[in-house]
Amino acid sequence: MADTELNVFRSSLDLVILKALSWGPRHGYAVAEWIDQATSAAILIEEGTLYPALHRLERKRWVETEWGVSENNRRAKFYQLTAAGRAQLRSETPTWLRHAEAIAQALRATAPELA
Amino acid sequence: MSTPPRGFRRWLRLPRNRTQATRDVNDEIAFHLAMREEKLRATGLTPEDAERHARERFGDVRTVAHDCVEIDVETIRAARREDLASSLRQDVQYSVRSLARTPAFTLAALVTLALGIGATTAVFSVVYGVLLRPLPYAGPDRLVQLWEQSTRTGNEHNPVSVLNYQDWTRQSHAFSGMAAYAFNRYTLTGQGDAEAVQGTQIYGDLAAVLGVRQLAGRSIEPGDARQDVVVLSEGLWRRRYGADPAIVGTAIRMNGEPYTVVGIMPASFMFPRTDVELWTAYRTILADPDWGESRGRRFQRVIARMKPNVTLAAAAADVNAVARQLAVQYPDDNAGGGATAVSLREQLVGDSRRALLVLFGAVACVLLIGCANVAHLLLARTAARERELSVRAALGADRRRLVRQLLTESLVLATGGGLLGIGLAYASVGALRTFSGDTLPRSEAVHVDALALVFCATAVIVTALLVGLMPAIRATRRSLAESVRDGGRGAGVGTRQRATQGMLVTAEVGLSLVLLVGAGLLVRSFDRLRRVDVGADPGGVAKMLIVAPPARYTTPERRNAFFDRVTEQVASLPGVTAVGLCDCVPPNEMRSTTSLFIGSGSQNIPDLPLVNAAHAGANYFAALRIPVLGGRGFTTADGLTSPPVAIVNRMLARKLLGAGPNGTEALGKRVSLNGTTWRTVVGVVEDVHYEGLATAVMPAIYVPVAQDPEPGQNLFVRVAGSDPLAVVPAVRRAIAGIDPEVAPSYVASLEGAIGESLASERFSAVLLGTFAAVAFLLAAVGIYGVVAYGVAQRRREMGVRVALGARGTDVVRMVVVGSLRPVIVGVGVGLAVSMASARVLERMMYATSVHEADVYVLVAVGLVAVAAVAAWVPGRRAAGRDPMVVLRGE
Repeated sequence: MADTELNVFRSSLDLVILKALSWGPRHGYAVAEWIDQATSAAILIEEGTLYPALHRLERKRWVETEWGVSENNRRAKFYQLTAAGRAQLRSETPTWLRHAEAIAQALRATAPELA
Repeated sequence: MSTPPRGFRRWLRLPRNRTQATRDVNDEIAFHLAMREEKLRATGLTPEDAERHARERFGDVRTVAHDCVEIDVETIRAARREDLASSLRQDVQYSVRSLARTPAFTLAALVTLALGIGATTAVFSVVYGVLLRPLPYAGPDRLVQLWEQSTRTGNEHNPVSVLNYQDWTRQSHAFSGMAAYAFNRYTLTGQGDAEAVQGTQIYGDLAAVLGVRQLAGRSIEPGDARQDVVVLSEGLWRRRYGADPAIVGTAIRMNGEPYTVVGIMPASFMFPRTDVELWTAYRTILADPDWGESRGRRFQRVIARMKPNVTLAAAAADVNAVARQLAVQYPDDNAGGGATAVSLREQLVGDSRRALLVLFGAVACVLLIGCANVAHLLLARTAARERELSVRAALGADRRRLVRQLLTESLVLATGGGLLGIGLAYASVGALRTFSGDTLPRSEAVHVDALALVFCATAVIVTALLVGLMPAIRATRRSLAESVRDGGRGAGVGTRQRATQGMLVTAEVGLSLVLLVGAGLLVRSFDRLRRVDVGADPGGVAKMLIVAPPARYTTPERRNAFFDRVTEQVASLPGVTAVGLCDCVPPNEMRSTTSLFIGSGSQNIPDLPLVNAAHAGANYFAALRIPVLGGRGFTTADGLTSPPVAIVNRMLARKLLGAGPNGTEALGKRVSLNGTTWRTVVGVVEDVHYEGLATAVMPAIYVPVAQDPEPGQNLFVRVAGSDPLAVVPAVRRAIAGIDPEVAPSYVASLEGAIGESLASERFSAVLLGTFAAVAFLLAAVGIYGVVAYGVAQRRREMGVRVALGARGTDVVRMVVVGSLRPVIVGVGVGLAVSMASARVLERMMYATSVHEADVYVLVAVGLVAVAAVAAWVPGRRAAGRDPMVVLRGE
């Protein structure tokens, strides 16, 4: 991963957004709701941060957008994964999981010397 | 266009601009907040609390909105770039395919453009290298060349004497540094064969003036003035001394004396000329009172660096004031004297500027004519495609897009031509440098470089616009109705198109006429110059410089003995019929211009007439077959102990000694070059050119070499065979046999040297002639193309005329007369422009007026005649057709 440490949060959010969209198009609010539930409200402290992230994903062409009508008949902007976005999700997920597990394991260590 | 490119689909969904992006972002955030509020209200919050909570959970709305808009704007820009790139790619692909479908057209256009762009780029490289490229010195704009001036001789740029130079350095204020230099030949011995090389003697701190660095050791410094030190060029150091760094500090033998090598200059240092291979100090000059202590002996060049903030005019005024003061102080040597400063660049470039700019103008004309031809081809081509274009326009294709499509086509063509042209430029710059020889100053600075490529790219773009814009605009301006109405089997070409083509023909004819007139004038002038009688018979004569090393041939007697042995032994070589000595060489080497005392006339130096003065040996006139009009030539009897004698040319005899046409009345008159030694005129010889064939012969006086033997003399060897240079190796051996430390230099056939003296005139004449010929050819092809195309378009009309009873010859006349109209207009415009602009050539002319009527008439008539033939051929072919076939056909 080329991301610098400062970008760790941002890229983890990107990955979670891609995951949120992996079941089909959603509007921003629905993405926020899904992330809230999926992460027990641990990532999105302020929901607003979601939107620049979404727009940046569009800039990278991992998602496409389209204006449509929401479940309660309001005009809403829907996000949808592109093939590149799906590929990104597929290739980054295992890396993140390994990474997270390795860090978790290290942080749980109980002895200075490992057997 | 099978599937739309990816960018295309994205494009439709993206906001178009910042305003729209802002609205979208605000809508999106408003939607989010509304959804959140709704959910919170469902949990029982009051609307006010719900709104507050939703906003708190969202964070700062304005920051988020701002960030999103910025990201979107960037996305929009990227998409636009991509869209443009992909549509350009499409246009290019489309153009290439469509050009490939018409290979004959494409090839013709490519060759024409390659010629035009290549030649223009090549000449640009020369112009830039010679006229514009910075000189290879630090702060080159501050460098000036200083000259003495004389109201007496009218000479603006006289060399400087040593004493005057010394006073200049002391009394002037405008310069931070000054150095004098003089050319000298050196014969290198020791290590290998004796070899004569060009050297320059330097007086002053040249390195400080020029701001250059040596490769090793040091340069010549002011403290060296009376030392035998030498600085070698990198080339000489590598060639003769095997690039041995240890040579610095050792002594080498030059002109029979040891010189200590103190430094080596890099190959990039080519001061003051490219052929100089070593630099020495002033010891030999300062040691000789004739040179080092004579105020009237002007032989040095002076270069100086102006102080910061001193203008060229101020510098010139400063040195002039000093020189005028010296003129008052030393009237015998400096009467009427002044001085001037010329920027070094101006000095180096000199007269070549005019010739180069004329050439550049000529080559630009060739390019323009080429453009006109290609524009016509494109016009014809788009006319053929008009229906396709109008249909596309009617189907909703954006007109701008169609214009862009057509322009892309011409850009593709121009780029192809440009790429081929670069190859041509590379090849021809090399050829130009070779061909120009010594005539082009700074030719070492000429090459095709990045800047030339930038120029070439610019030429490509301008060319593309020139050839493409008119057809593109014209093709898309016609309405659908118009082109469907007369498309395909239309009655003929619209009048507007015919007018456009008429304009192209007019332009081509006008441009090529200007070029042809210019070339005609130059060629005529060159031809007259070539026919100038040099005054001698140069065929079968080899000339070379022989220098008796002054260190060993210290007295006039020794020098005479040396030269006597040289002439005797060379004369006895097989195949040699005559040998002569002289310190001058026709047609352009004269030793000096000096005052002549005439027995009965004034003895006040400033009033004396100026004459060319040369030293000639016995048999010089015979060896060069210079006719002796009266009296005798010099003989071996004219020596140090015999009475002083002189021979004058016919001009001197008639102008200064009051002689008749043959000058014989001058015989027996008494003259003197210094006021002390009086000489009797014993002979009158025919005028010989010594100051260039283009310059009128000056009064000249010859004195016998043996009565004032200088160490350097030119040896003229006439041989029986046709190749005088074949005898050179034998001459070399004979001289080495007399003194192994003497080697001939400046070896050339005299005929070759005379040809070489016209090299710069030949360069201009041949080049301009070539460009004019190419222009003429292009114009002829262009006229033919336009007429043939016009005839093809009017075949039906002509068929109708013939069917209605018109005779074939009438039809042909109609075609020819109709096509000649723009030609005549072009000739008129071209003549007017030529007359007005010919003055540019005035200074390049020899005995030729820039308004010689017959050149103009010949060119005008020739162009009209060629145009008539070019029009007649297709007209004749059309008239010969069976009208019924034509009418049914198409």
